[in-house]
Amino acid sequence: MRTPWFLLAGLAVLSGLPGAVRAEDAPPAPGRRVPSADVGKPYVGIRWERDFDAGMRRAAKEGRGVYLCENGRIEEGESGTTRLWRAYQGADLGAATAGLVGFVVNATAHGTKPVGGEEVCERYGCGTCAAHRAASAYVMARFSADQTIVSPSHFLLDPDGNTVYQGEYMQSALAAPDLEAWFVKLSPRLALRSVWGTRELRTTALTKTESVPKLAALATAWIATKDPLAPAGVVAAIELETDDARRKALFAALATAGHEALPVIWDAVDGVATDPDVDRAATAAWMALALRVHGEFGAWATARAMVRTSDRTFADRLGEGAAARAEELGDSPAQAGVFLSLAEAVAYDFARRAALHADPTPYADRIRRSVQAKLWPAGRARRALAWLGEKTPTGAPPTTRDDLRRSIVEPDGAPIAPAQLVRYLADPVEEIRVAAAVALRRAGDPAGADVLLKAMEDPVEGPEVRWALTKLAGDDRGDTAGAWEEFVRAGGAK
Amino acid sequence: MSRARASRVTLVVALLVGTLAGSAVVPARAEDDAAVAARAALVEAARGKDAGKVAAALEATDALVGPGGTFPTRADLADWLGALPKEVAALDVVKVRRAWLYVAGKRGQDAIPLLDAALASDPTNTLYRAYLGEAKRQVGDLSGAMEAWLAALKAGAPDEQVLPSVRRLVYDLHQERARDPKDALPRYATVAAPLLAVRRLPDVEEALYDWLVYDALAARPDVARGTSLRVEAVRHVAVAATGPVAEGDRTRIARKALEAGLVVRALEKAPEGLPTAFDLFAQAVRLGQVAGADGHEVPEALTALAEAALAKGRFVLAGAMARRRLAISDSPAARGVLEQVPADVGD
Repeated sequence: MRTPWFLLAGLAVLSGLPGAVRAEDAPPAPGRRVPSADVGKPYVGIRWERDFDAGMRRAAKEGRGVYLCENGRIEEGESGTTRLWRAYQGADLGAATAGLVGFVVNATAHGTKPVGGEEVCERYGCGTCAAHRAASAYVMARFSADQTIVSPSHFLLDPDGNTVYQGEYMQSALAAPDLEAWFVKLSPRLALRSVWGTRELRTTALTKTESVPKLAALATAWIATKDPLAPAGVVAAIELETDDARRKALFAALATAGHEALPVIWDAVDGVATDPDVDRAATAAWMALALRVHGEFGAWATARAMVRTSDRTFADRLGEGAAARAEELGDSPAQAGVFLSLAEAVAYDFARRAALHADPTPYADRIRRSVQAKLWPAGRARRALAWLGEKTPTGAPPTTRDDLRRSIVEPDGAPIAPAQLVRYLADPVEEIRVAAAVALRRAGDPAGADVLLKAMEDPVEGPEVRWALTKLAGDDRGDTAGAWEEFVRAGGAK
Repeated sequence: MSRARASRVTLVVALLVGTLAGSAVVPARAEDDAAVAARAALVEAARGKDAGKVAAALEATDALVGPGGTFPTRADLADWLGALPKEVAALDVVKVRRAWLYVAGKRGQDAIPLLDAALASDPTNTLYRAYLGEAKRQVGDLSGAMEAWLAALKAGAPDEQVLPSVRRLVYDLHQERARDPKDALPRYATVAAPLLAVRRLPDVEEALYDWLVYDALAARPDVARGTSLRVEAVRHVAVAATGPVAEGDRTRIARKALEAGLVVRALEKAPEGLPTAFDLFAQAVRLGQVAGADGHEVPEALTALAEAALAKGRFVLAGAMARRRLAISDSPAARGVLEQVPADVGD
């Protein structure tokens, strides 16, 4: 007698053996009683969305990951159902996925039952059949190369829809700690907000402990537990803390978290790097922490702060901190990354001050080597070398659209003649027209004024035009064409 | 079988074939009172050389068409008009009327000679060219149909004379796509190419995109065919996403432009002339823009454009898009872009 496919699948799943059940293997047997959710009990598991499109939109707009749980082919039989229950319906899973957008993925329509005033899929006790069927169509379209899929499978997408995790069979279902770790990585802002509720005891202890040494010990111990939300909890406490000593203690604890802390410190570090002079002590503290947590990220932020601060002494101090951290990292890609960011900041500073305060040769060498080591794209290195007064002509006429654009806005040799630039104003490619108009305006020629003013209102070309004109004018006049019209049409030197 | 029996069978078959053949020819219908009156009116108007009366009499014959009427179809009315005395049938207005009636009655083959003749004397008549295109479509001469419609448009035909027929052709071919060869693009995707090259039809382009993407999925696991269909889909959505887009369609088209950009980005080598991923993402960003607000209907497009700009070395744009994305919500990918942007770039 032929063994039913669902029994094989169930046995394979229960025994932990790989047992791929492919979507086209066999259709579900008609008329079989399908065990369904016990809707009498409150639903505490993973919340399945009611509308697929709305859920996907919400993920992007709210910055949430998307957890897709394909299990349409272990639809029937008590063993399969029990397994599903364990995989998706524990209270710990419900809590761990509260910050995600969850879809059960199943192409089959089931009956409905009223729960809490709304109709839900009776199979899953949550969500709707329309949503899990739409999710199935999405998963099949995106992840199946041959119109089959291993069932069960699990997929996790970031808020932009990029796949960050996928696995096959039931063992690929993510456990609560894994889901929380992903939540922190994908949605650190939400994690920082929610940690007060999800880790109430821990966060309350941090805020109520009066002794600074005890506070440091509590925070460090929490991080040592490898609780994915611990760095978020400590950062949340830092955001509320006003006492310098307590902040310092929390920073020290956070430094022990390593890379795990990067997502939750990113915004804060970026914020102070962008405006480093608002509170230089805070800037220095965040930069030091960032360098500890992730050397290359810390160096990127430090370089950003260095080129933005108006205090050269402060910039040098930040640079020394980054260089010291690089030395600690030893000969490694991380060390190379830190030095490279520093080299870029120094190169920019060299160009800005138009005076040699240090020998640029070692920085230029480092930047040149970065291209060979593929640490940086050639364009970024070329730009930094240009600050050091070094042109890197390609020696060949532009063959691609990108080459042509670059040759217009960043000429390797002599600038393109105005007559040729004027011809480019009629190019069918918008970015070439805009590049030509920018180059003309730099040369004092207002011939591309209309192109520039139109581009200023464009969400794609506008930011670069505004940036170029701001550099040229010496001040930022805003993001509207009207604000720039006089300057653009005037021509001549600034 | 004996010769006599064989002869009888042959005779029966011959009779049967003859009967069937006879029944396939629609017998001329005897004129009823209404037709007789219509004939008299037309003859009188023609003899009086009164164009207005001829037109009115022709118009009145429409009432004779319909189930249970004198003429079951418009083509039957056209046949009847052609059989009228020469003084009526030879009038240009009657010939053109007959041509339209044949086209409306789905007998394009009978309309073509009438329309060719009419165009010989009035080559700039856009309506005749539009009818000719439809007549040729009905007889299966699709390239001839497209040629006629193109000529009509070039001669200044208004959209409503031509475009409904083009849409109909494309949609009909989509219905029949199961008959298309599997080693080439479906006919629905290619038939209107000459016209689409000169006239923007965003609704048709979007439909072509949807159908080609669907067919690409159905073509799995044939990777080459799936890719070929997707590439063609990209070309169509790029047109739909460029130029004016109705307010209510913007977000939907933006999402499709984003999808198409991701398809192009995944290609190892993009075919010549295919829109770039950067351009498609840029259109998605433009179309997803919320008027008068900092928000965006398709935040993922901002990230995709940021990544594409970074790859091109357009650091300012990359940084601006990544920051706009992060102003909406968390995006690890946008943060990754910013970490690749030079220190001096951006706010």
